[in-house]
Amino acid sequence: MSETPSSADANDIALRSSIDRSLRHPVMFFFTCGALWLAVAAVLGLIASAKKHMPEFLDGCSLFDAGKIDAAHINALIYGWGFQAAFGMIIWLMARLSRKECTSSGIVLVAGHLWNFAVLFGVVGIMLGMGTGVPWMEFPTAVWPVLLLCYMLITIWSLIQFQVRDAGHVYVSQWYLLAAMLWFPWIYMTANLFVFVFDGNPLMAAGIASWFKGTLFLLFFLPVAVASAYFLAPKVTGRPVYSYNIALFGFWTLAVVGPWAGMQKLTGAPIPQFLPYTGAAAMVLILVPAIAVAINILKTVSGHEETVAASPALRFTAAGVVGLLTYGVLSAATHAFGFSLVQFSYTDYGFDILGLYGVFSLCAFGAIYFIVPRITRREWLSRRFISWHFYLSLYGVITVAISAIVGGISQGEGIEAWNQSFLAGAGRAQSYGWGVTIAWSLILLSSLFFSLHLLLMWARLGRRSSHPTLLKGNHAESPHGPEGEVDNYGSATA
Amino acid sequence: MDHTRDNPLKRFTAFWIALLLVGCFGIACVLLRPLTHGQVDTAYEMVSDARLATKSEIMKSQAAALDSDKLEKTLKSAAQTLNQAPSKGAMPLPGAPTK
Repeated sequence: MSETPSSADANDIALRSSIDRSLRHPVMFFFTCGALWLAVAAVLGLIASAKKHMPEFLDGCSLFDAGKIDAAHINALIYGWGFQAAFGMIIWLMARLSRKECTSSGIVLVAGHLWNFAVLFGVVGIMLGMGTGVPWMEFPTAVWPVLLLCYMLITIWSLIQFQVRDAGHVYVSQWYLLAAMLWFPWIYMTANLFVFVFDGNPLMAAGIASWFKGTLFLLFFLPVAVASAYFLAPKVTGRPVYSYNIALFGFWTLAVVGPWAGMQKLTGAPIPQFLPYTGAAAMVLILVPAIAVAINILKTVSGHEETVAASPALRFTAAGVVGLLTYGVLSAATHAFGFSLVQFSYTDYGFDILGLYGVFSLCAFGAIYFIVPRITRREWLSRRFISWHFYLSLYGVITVAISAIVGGISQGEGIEAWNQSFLAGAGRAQSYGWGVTIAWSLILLSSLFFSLHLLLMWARLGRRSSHPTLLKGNHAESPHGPEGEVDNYGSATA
Repeated sequence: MDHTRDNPLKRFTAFWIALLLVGCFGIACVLLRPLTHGQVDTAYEMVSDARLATKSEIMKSQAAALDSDKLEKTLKSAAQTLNQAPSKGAMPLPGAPTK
């Protein structure tokens, strides 16, 4: 039976509307809890950074010991904010691209609550001194099986949606989402089993822990961020992706290069010599997929500079893509030419934050600004809040990256100088530490605006309008496509 | 909806395939464990045989170099002079009478 174009369009919009309705509670739960965890991570980051250049700060309370607060900060950022933002993006994007409603939102919500309790237990456990001390796996060992179970309960429905999707084109975003969904259990299970469960050689356990830290960003957070960028850039500009072949090339280079990263941190350790050097080579080669993604996304939006400036979703996404290019260039430069300067310095932290915040989080904010109005049927309340969130986030992450990476290189030079004491190297990083503290203050402020805005949207206090909230006044036409998608098909509760 | 692609049986199968796929990672780790779980030797154990051989060689050469008769005589003579005041120019012994 053939349908007229108008009825096909109406059916399409109704389907999208029903998908959004089916995912409203889990997606809003993940985004809002994630935003609150981001604020917590920013507070912890502020304290952790302050203790690096003012060791006496809060030294009366053992909960805030430097080793504990550092670990609590980075784990809250990764598992509290990063994963929950990624969950919201994965389940919404996969449902939309597979054109399937979510039939298990109750289970996803329960798993989401369990995930939050596990992260809370983990962060409190670290601060009480029960942490494992293994980078990015510092939660008490009882937590990782719970997190893995929750992860499966949250993402398995998206794998099913992909499997039963209607026949047709598989979007670039779907490749990345599918890969991220399968890569994470692989690296997480392998790392935890070999580090905490099997009693293997402790040196190789250290190597595997480094590998996990290196690959978690490249094989989970980066693919999710890129999937979001490949969805939003064509969607908002109304143009197809610039080059399918470049997208394919970028995906496979990431898949081939990404799993080798991580062990460069153990250069000089008594492990097989090829492992650290392969890790360093992978960190140099990561520039290749970074360039491929950046060219593709930036060429897709080129010619639409006004749209990029006006649309919150696209502005954050474009900033995240530029962040990815910066990450690739800096990674290639430091690992190719000056690795001895950065191995034991502050630089590593700068790379971690540049990746987690400057790439992933900026893309995630872009996705959230796009998704939330569609699932709440309300528009963002305040253009100024979004604008402040953007600039404070951007200046914050740039300041962290410059302070930690440049400060780390200077610190590395001090450590390498054989005729100076070790403390002289640490002293070089002290003034840059102030920069990181100021940067976390900016990020904290930005996340407070963001969290408040998101809570108001979850409470359905957003604007009842079919005009998207844009970052400029008096716009002639909407960059989000034809108006009416948001509110013309009735309330989400209908 | 295309019922040939999306039906309860397909979803049920996809669920178990996904679980199996993820479970495979764990199974692969368990299978790989014997390959990675070699005998872990501490640095002390790794060099202990050579150290013990050196030690026994030293003990043997020391035992061979020791003249028991001479040692016994020396000890006896030292014992006889233990409680006597040291002669002029000799080293005073701790605890020995000085007059």
